[in-house]
Amino acid sequence: MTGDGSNSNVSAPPSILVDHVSRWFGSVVSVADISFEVQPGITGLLGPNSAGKTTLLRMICGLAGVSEGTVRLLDQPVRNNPSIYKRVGVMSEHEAVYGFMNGRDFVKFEAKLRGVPDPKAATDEAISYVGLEHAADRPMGTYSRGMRQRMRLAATIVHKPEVLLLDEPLNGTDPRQRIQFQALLRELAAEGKTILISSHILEEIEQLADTVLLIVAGKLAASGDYRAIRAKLNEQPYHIKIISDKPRDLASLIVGMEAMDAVNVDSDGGLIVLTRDLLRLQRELPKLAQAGNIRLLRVEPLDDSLESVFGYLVG
Amino acid sequence: MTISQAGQTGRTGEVFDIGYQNYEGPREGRPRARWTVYKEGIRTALGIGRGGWAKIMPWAFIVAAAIPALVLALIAGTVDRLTGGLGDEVIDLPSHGDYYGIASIIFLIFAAAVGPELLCPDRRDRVINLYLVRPITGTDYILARWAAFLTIMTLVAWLPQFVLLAGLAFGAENPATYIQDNWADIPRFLASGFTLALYVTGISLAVASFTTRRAYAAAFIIGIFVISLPFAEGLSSDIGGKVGQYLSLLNFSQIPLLMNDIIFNEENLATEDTLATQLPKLTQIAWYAFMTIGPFLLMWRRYWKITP
Amino acid sequence: MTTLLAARNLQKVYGDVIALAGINFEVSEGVTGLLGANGAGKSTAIKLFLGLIKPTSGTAEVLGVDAASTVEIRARLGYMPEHDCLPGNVSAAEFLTHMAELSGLPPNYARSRAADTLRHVGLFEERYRAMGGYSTGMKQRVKLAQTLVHDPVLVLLDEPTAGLDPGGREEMLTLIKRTGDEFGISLMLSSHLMGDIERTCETIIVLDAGRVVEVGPVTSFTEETEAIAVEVDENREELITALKERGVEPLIDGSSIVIEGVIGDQYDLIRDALVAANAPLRRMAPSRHELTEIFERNGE
Repeated sequence: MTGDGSNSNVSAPPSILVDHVSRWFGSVVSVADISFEVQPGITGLLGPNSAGKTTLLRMICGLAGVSEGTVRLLDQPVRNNPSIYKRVGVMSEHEAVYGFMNGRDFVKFEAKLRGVPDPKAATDEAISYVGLEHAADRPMGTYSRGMRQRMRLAATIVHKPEVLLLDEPLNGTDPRQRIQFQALLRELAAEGKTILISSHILEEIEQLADTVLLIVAGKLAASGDYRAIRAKLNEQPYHIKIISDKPRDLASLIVGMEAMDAVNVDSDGGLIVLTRDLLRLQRELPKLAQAGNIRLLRVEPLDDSLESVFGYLVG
Repeated sequence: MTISQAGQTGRTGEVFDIGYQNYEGPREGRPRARWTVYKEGIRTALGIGRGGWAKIMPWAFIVAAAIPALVLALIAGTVDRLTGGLGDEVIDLPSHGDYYGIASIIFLIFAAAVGPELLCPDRRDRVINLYLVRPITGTDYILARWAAFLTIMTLVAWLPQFVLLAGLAFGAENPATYIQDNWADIPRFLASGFTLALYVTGISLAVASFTTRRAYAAAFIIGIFVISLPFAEGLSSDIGGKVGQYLSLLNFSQIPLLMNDIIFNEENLATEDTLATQLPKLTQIAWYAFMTIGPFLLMWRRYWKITP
Repeated sequence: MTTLLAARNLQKVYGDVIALAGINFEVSEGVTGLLGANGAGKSTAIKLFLGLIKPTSGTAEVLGVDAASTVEIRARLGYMPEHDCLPGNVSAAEFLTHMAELSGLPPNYARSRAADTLRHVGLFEERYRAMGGYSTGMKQRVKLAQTLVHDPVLVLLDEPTAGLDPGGREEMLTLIKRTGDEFGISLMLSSHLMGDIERTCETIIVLDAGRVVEVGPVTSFTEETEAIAVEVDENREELITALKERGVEPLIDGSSIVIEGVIGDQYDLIRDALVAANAPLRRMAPSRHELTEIFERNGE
C-alpha cells in the first residue's frame, strides 16, 4: 500500500500499522475505517481541515483511543504501553517552549523524561546533529523561529527514536530555515528512521515525502507516490501543454491518435492536450513531431503535481 | 461600457460593467467615523440587528425599570381616588424623587449587564484591530462608545419617570392642573436621571475597559455596588459621627441617590438612614464628581494608549 | 510609477530586541510580497505603515505622508490581519457597511459599496447571515472585503493563508490574484511561504532579522535560463547516448537531463534523440531558477 517496495524488508512489520481504525464522538464520525502501513522513509499526511487528520495523529501517538480497530507502532500497541514512548518522537503543531529556558536544558529535560541512559551525551549529540551548538546555551526566547523548530527537533530525536511524528513542523519558518530543516529530515530518513509529517504545504511534501496519505472526510482517499495516484484518477484527463512551431499541424496529428480526448489551441499558440492515456502521448509525441517535421519547443504537464492530485481528490 | 449591436435588423444591446468600480463619492472623514461608532454602540447595546437573543436582556431591563414607575403611579392614582383627591395629605405618596431610590438596583444591574457589551466583545474578538487601522483614534472610539451608552442609560432612566408622570397626571382629577402644579418635577427628574446615568455609565465602562470578558466585567461591577452597600452602611452606622458620615460615602450604589436628594431637596426612602446625607452638599457633590470623572478618565486612558 | 509606501531608515527597537534595523525600501503599484520568517520584522513593518506603532527612528511613509503623524492617511489603506477579527452576532452586510462608514463613506454609499464588495469576493447570498455561522473560507472573504470596501490605494495582508488547508489556501491566493489583476488594487502581502509569494506577487522584498536582504521583481529570481531540462520516464540511458550521438552534451540534474544553450535546430536534435531512444517524454522546458535560490545564496 505504501513505499516503493525496493527497500522494504518484506518480513519486517511496518513501523506504523493502522488497521480498520474508526473514531467517533457521539454521532460525529471523525475517522471512518482507515487502514494503512507506514514504512521507513518520509511519508506525508495530508488532508483538508477537519478531515480527521489530527484525530488520526493523536491515535497513532496514543494520545487518543480508537473507537474501533488497532493501531500498532513498531509492532506494539500504543495505548497503555509506556515503553513505546522511548522509541517514538512527537513534535506537535504548536510551540510550547519556555522562553527563559536555554536550548540545552530543554533538550536534556526531554532526554531525562524519556529515560535516556546518558542524558548529557545524548543532548550534545542531538544538538550538534541539528547544528545548534553555538546557540544551545542561550535562552530559547532569543532564538529565531527556525532555530526554535530545530531545537524542538533535537528534543524530539534526543532519545534516538525510530519513529518521528511531526505536525506542521515548518510552521512559520522562512524558506532558508525550511531548506535546512528538510535536509535534516532527509538525513534522518536515510538512516532508516520512519518519519510521518502532517502538513498543509503541498509543495514541500511533494519535495520531501516518498509517499503520501490523503485523508478526506475521515477516510483514506489515496496513498502512495503522488504520480502513481494521479495515473489512477481515470475520470480526470491529464492536461499537457505543448508549444511548437506548427501548432495546427501538430494538433491534427495528435487528434488523429487514439485515446486523445481533446486538443485546444490557446491564445499564445500553444496546444493543450487532454488525454487519459498519458504514456501513449509521451511515447508518440516525438515521433509525430518528427514525422510531421514539426519542432517541439516545450512540453509541460499542467496537472501532474501533488496539488492537482489533492484538488481532484478533495474536489 | 460596451455596446454590441446586432446585424441588419437594427436591434441593439448593451453590456454594462458591473465589475469592481473605484469609489469617487464623498468621503467624510473622522466625524462620520465617530458617528458610526456611536450608532453601532446604540445598536449593540439594544440588540438591534443582532437577532432575538441579543434583544431580550436590554429590553427586559427596560421593561423592568418601568414597572416600579407603573406601580407607583397606580398606587398614587388609587389612593387619590379612594380619598377623594386628598391623597397627598393622607399618606406620604411616593413620587418622582423617590423613584430612583426604589429602582436604582435595576439600573445598576442594567449597566453591569449591558455596558460591557459595548467594549468587551470588540476586544475579545479582536474586532478592535479593524477599528484601529481606520482613520480614527482610540479616543474617537471610546468617547463615541461612552456617548452611546450614556444616551441609552439616560433614556432608560427617563422613561419610567415619564411613565410615572403620565400615571400621576391621569390619576389626578384634572391632569392639566396636575402638570401645571407639579411642572417643577420635570427638570428635576431629568437632571437626576442624567446624573444617575452619568455615574453608572462611567463605572460600567471603566471596568469593561480592563477585561475582555463580559461576564467578569458584569460580576465585578455588581460586586462593587452590592458589596459596598452593607459594608459601608454597617461600618458607618457602627462608628457614627463625622467619620461615619464619610464612611457612608463608600456605599457606591448610593452615590447617585445623594445627588437625587440634593436635586429634589428632600430625602427619599432609600437614603433615610444614610449618614452621608448629613455631610455638606458641596462635599457630596465633589465626591460624586470624583466618582464619575475618575472612572471616565481611567476608561479614556486605557483606550487612548491602545495598540493591537 | 507612484511610490505608495516608503521605509526611510526605519528602525524599531523594543528594549534589547531590534525588530527593524534602519531599513529602506519602496513599494510601488502592483502586488508586492514581503517574505520572511516569523519574527523577521514583517508584522512590525506593517504596523508602522498603518501608524499603529511609532518608529524608534526614521519614517514610514504612506503616499509621501509620515504614517506616524496623522490617522487620516489610513483611509487610503486596507489591512487584513492574520487572526480572526469578526464579531459573531452581526451580518456581513451590516459589518461591512459599518466599516465603510468608519472610513468616511456616507451611509447610502456605504451600504451599496458593502453589497458590491461582498459580491466581488464571492459572498453575495450569505451576506445577511450572522458571521458566527460562516465557514473559515467565508470569514476570510469578509476579512478581505473589509479591506476593499473603501476603495483603498493599497491593501496590506498579513499572512493571509495562515491556518488554511490546501483548498482554502488555493481559494485565498486566487482571490488575492483577482484583486490585484481584475480590481486593479495594489497589494502588499506578508508571508513566510514562498508559494504564496510566487503565485501572486510581482515584486518581492525579503526580510531577515530586521534587515532587508533582497529586493526585486519576482521574475528576476525565477527567470528562465537558456538551458532546456528534459524528463523521461523510461530509457534514460538510451536517451543520453542518443543525444551524445547527435553531438549534444547533456548534464544530469536530479531526475532531469539538462542541455545548455539550445537554439534553433538543436530542438530537433532533442526530438530525434527521443525517437531514437523510444523514451516517453514527460517534460521538456527551460529550466528556471527557483526563488529558493535566494536563500541558498545568502547562507545561514
